[in-house]
Amino acid sequence: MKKLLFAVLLVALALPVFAAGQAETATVQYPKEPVQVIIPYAPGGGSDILTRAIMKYIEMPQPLVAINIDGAAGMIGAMQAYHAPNKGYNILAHNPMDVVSYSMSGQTEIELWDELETICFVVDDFNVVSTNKQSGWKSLEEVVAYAKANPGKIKWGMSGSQTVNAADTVRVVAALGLTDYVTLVPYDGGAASKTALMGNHIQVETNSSADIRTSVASGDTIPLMVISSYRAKALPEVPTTLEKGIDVTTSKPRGYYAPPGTPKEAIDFLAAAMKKVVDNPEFVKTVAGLGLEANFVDGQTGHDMVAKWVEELKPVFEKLSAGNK
Amino acid sequence: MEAIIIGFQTVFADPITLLLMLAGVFMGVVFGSIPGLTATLGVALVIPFTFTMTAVQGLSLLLGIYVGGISGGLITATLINIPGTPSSIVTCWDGYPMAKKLPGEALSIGVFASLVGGLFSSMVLFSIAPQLAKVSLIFGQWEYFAVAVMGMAIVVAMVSDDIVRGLIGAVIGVLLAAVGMDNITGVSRMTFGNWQLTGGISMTALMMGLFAIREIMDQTIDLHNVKEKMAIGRISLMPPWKYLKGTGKSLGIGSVFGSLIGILPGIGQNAATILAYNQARKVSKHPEKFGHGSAEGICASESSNNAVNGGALIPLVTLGIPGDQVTAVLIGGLMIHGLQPGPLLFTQNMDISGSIMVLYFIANIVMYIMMLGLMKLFVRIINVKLSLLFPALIVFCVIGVFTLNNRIFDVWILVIFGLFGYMLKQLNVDLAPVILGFILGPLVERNLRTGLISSNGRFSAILEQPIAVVCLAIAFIFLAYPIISKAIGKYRSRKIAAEHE
Repeated sequence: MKKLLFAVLLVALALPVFAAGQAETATVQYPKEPVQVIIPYAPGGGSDILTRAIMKYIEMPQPLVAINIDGAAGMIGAMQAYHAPNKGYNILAHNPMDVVSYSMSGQTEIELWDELETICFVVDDFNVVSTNKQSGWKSLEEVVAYAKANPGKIKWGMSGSQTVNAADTVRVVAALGLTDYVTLVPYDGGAASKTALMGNHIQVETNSSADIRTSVASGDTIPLMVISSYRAKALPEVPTTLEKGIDVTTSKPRGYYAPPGTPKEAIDFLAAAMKKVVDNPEFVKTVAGLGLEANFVDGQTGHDMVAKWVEELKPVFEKLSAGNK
Repeated sequence: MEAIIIGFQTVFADPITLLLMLAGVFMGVVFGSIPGLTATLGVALVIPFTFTMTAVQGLSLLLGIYVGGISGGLITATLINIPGTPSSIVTCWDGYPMAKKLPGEALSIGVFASLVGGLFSSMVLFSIAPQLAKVSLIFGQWEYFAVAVMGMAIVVAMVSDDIVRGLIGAVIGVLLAAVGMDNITGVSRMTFGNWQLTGGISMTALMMGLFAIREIMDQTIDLHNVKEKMAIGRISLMPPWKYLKGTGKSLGIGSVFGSLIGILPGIGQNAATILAYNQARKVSKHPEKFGHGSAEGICASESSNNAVNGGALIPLVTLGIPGDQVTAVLIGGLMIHGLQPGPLLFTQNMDISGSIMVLYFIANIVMYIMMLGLMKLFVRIINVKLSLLFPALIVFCVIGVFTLNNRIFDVWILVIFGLFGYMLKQLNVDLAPVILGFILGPLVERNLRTGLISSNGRFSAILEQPIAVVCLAIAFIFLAYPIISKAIGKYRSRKIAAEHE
């Protein structure tokens, strides 16, 4: 009896040792369980489909699991991710320029874009200045000429008024010398702005390349200028702001973030796995269908790029929020 | 026309498409009939599975769930006064009183009205989709503003017997909808510094709280009364003629209202049912029966919510613009397969646009047959002990509300607004104006502001939009109607009195 008791005791003592051993291997073998990806928008949107395409092509010992948390133009999901456990099993799919706007517009005190760990960016999207077919304009110069001749006639749509889209619109309009000649109209998102342009309720808009690609294809929307330092593959004919001599070149990358303090091994592992996906020609084709351009940017480079844009955008946002008061 | 023929060919060429349709409608009806689980949730849950199917197969499954989900809500609404989906809230008002005596007949009428609404909107979709699609483009900020004001004015007409409490309800709705981040200026409103509230209050959680949780609390008070076993009554392919007689007008109103509201993005089933119901009551020969088991009331509600589906598919098929939450997910379903939902889809991918229209049509017929078949099973819940049924329903509400957006916060909204709704009900505040305020308030606000910004603050710009002017005029008539009718009534009674003298 005593022997038996002793044996039980020995096993009981040994258990934690085994468990500790396992825990050690766990840090080496990442991931040991499925990785949850918060998609901060409703199912079926562009961000949702992009992540599901990643899920389809990614090669990992454990699957990615999509969790849609919609609300406040993507901010609820971002905040949820910020507060999520940081063991590498919770990550966030987001576009940095939206993340930037949450802090700059004063929605939250937390500098989310900086506090969250940037894993990598996987695709590029662009803001595009376009007009509709009713206007008959074929180039930006025609818009500028008409606007100057008819002050107040042109309504220029944008998505929100405390967003990077709006900040860029304000900067482009100023660079074109049109600040006092056009009326800027903030819409509740890209789809609403696109519809208003098609119905000629506005004559010019700044909208994302992904949002307008179908109406560009049908000839209802005429793209005039891409806000970028290089030409968009989806719109090879359309000149960029850089070519037009306008110093506004913020593109719209989309990528992945992790909660603050997530282990570096996990981030590196995920970034490497995603790089492989971006190199896959099938994935490139899938995202091209969404109006996006595959372009892998590693976490550090991506973070620095955004930091530079934030410096540029800060004074613009300050002006924008002063206008609100 | 060509698109429809191609659509029929594509759909019937693949037996799996039709099987998936059956599965979709079944799943939709089940989701629709369980409070808390909605058509939106069903579609969202299934969409990852459609990746591996062909585009048409995926659409078949999704459209089946869409149609089944909206229709299934009438079952619990009718039998136990708890709407299975928010779009069946109005069905409770007449379905339940009628089902107390004639459960089978009440269900048959509801299912029949769903079919009528679905088929009507499907005919609209078949025949004049491209022309009607332009409506979504003609509507700018001012037009939306005016339509929303018109809807709000109906609230006043609706609650004319107790205007103060009605307006209290509507104001509560508008205030609740204002919570969260304002999308135009990015300013947080009434969030009390809590980031969870920046996303606003979830519509599904709010409605299930006000109408499911609150109703369960209401009925729990009578739980000690032992229910008598009820006869189920007749469930037939066509509801008996004596109940259908005189419902033509309300079926027509429901179908037309639903289809039109569907075309305009952002309004949706919930507002459509309330608006159609009130219009039907106004033109009815027996308005006094509304709310006490009127077949006309059931018909207006159930035909309009199904008609919204077909209406919402019009801008989707022709312009790539979603008409409601579910069609927004459908657009995702198309993009996954590399299709471009947009103005070109209709002409360049005729097999797809045709299939959507044909599948929607078939889904309605499948829904009708399946609902009548399942009805014999479903109707038995009327004799299930409520002490067993209610806990189960609460569990489903919690699961459904959580799963829709994966947030525990929404579950709190459900619980809090269940209690809040109970309080309002005790204070005799009608809950229908709360919903209308919640849905229409933000539409009024957003479009008024965008309209004013685009016209540099000039309010008179609205007078340049004929559609908007007409809608505002109608709104004015609705507002003034109680006063006018009172004046006429007084004048008449005075005249009669004078004649008697």
